[in-house]
Amino acid sequence: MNDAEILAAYAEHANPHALRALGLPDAGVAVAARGATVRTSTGRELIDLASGGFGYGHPHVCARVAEQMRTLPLSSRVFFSEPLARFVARLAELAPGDLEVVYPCNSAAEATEGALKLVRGYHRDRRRIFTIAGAHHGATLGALGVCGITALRRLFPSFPVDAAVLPFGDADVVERNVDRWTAAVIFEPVASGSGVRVPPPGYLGTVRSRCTAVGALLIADETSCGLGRTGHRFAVDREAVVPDILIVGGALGGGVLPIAAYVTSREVNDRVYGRRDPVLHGSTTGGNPAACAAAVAALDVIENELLASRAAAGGARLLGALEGWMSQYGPQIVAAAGAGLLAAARLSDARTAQVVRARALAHGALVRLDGLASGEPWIGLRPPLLISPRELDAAIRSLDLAFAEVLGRPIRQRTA
Amino acid sequence: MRRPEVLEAYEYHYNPALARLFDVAGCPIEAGARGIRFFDDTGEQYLDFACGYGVFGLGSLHPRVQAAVQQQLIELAVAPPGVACSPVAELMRKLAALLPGDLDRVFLAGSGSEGIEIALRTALLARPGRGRWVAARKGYHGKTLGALGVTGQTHLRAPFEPLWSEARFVPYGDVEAMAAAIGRGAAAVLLEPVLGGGYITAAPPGYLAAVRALCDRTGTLLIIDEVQTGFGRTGKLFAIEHDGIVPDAVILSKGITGGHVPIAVTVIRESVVQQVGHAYAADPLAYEADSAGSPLVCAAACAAIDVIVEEDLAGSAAEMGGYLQDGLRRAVRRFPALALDVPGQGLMTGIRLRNCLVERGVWMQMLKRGVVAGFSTNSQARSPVLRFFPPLTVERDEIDAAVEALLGSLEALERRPVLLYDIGNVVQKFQHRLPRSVLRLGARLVG
Repeated sequence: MNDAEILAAYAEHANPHALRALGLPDAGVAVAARGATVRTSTGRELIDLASGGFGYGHPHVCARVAEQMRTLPLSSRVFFSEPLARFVARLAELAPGDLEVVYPCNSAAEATEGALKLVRGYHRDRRRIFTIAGAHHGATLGALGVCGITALRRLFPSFPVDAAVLPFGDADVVERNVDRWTAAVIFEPVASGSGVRVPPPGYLGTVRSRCTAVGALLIADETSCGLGRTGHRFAVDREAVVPDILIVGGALGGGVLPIAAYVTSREVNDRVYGRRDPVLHGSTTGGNPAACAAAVAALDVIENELLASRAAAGGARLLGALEGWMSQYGPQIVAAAGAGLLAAARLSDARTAQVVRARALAHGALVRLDGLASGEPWIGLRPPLLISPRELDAAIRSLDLAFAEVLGRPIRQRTA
Repeated sequence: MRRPEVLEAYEYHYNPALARLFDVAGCPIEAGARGIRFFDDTGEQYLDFACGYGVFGLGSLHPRVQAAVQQQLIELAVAPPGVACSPVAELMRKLAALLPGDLDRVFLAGSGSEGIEIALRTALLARPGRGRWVAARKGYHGKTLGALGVTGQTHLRAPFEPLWSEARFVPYGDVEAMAAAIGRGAAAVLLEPVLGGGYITAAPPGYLAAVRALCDRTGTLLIIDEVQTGFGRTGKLFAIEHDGIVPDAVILSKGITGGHVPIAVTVIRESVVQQVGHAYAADPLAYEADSAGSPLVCAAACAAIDVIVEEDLAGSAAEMGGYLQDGLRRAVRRFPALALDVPGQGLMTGIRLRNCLVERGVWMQMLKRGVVAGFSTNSQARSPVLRFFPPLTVERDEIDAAVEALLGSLEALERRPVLLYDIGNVVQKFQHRLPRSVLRLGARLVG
């Protein structure tokens, strides 16, 4: 298919309501990618600051996946699968504390659903689940039931599971509301559902101890902030907090295949699935050999190539740039936040944010537009873990140009 | 990894209940596959009449899909959001062209469950004010909470309920019951064209057409789950063709994985998609899943579709399905106490067995004879159907071999009095709570 045919196919068959926002056709057609750079059919190079993934074309990951694809990509499911065994053992090893039972699946939304099933199965007499304002845990209906974005919740008459929304980052509110009738609290250790927000120091610890005190399950959704992205192996590590269920996704597929998982403790798993038919826990393609091979390779690269440290360094560079633009452009950039390679700047209005995004693309950087449903327009920056310093610099230059064009000439330090 | 390590990983880090069952049954480690055969780590070969619950419709490692996957792996496996790519475009085009009516909008998902969720979500948004679902008793639609809530098999839902406050389940094939449940209108009706699970009940001719009419009259959306039936297995490319209906949404998976990748698609009518724009007004990307629909999985799906269409595998399934069912009926005639009948359509078929213990016994005996049949995994079915789902490319001599294995297995089981299986069946209902030693005893009884 040529470019025109490709774009026509999207126009006629993709979700019409999401097309413009997905950037098509401005971004063009991708034909190759490596590291954090995507090449289009016209030869343009775009730096990816949007995917929040692992990165493209890592030789070790690609080699392992190619090999597994040649041997056995999908499982018969009637015999033992060695790649599955290897993956669950490896993730159990890396997961904090007593988290050691792994449920591999095809997407972060499935992992969230699996976590909610654990909550339902674990606490038969408690119904209350708390979620945090602005959080987005997936688009399946259970996950939407624990979505913290009111504008989205309001669109549906009901959900299979329901949640009450607590304000972000407020430890007192957690202490006051989480009680013996609370089945679970689901949160992101670094919030990224609507822009980026880092909870204040001590917040993670408080939520953990409150849940422990009342016997509520703590679900940490690290789809967007796990696997080294925030400079720690897992974002909860920054306060040495161990949740009851940890959701992992995003970069887990090594930039090659879709895979996500949750990890929980033996105690939680056994109470729900211990003496039960294993089919309750089944999946046709979850934990397939090729995806498991990709995940093991990705985890190895993250550890061996110290991607967490690289993310911390790159993140410092990103946040520094964002803060610089914030001071340059005064009230038009309202806030800047970041933890490692998960950063964002909140703009004063949605229209401006859209233009900034378009100009960034024109200068060769793909960025996110987040938080719209929460009424807060954020330019989101979530480069792949593999982004190199050179690519990061190029991306920052592109953004610099975009901000300059859209937000006007730089305003020096304002006097009172 | 050696077997003890693999077993330990399953036991401590994955699924202890499954580890026990596999251990007791003496399951080997899978090592590879090609076409209709797969191999274990001891070098044993097995004829695949399970198809990994439907994903190996083309057999394992079909060369065209393999070539497409390896090529795409080198070129571009994953693309960032906001950039178009060719395999995704191609897949959307192909699907829209193959499906009837204005089933033109393609939503990509990671699994059948997710595909169902997309349809459910769309129905709620397209029918504001309606929260009722109608689905079939004994149906199966998925494991995520929304899909689970409309899954008729009660034992799968019960540990996680309450889910939907207004989900009604009606007997499959009963138009009056369906009409009563829909009433003046529901958000949607969900149906499989052939009830899967442990039953494999084909829709009576005219049933789906009647349900379509009921939905039209009441403005209810009709969601057809073709995760198992889609892409040829029942003898038509899509099972909706048997009654010639156009649903509002259809979910496809398994068949288009090409035996290589996880993928599902939900194709929705243009007219329905145009009704849900309001849900995207605040944030057009509110429901976009970052991981679904990569170029790699789409390239595999495109190759799989090409093979299925070019080689008319639906036609093969119709022909070979007849041949297979004839073979299975020989078993029913010879062993009427154990083998009850042969339900299904095309190559979506199997043999209904006396009870769950007999099903397990037949499955294990067939394994010893080098054939893997599709275990129903339905512990609640009184007489479950052991599936015979070969790849759509299956040949007559392979069917003959499977039928011979079945006959041999039933002959072996017939040596013991049937009463033993009836008693044993009661015990096996508690198998997940029994110690390993008792399970091993049971395995020796039937294996």
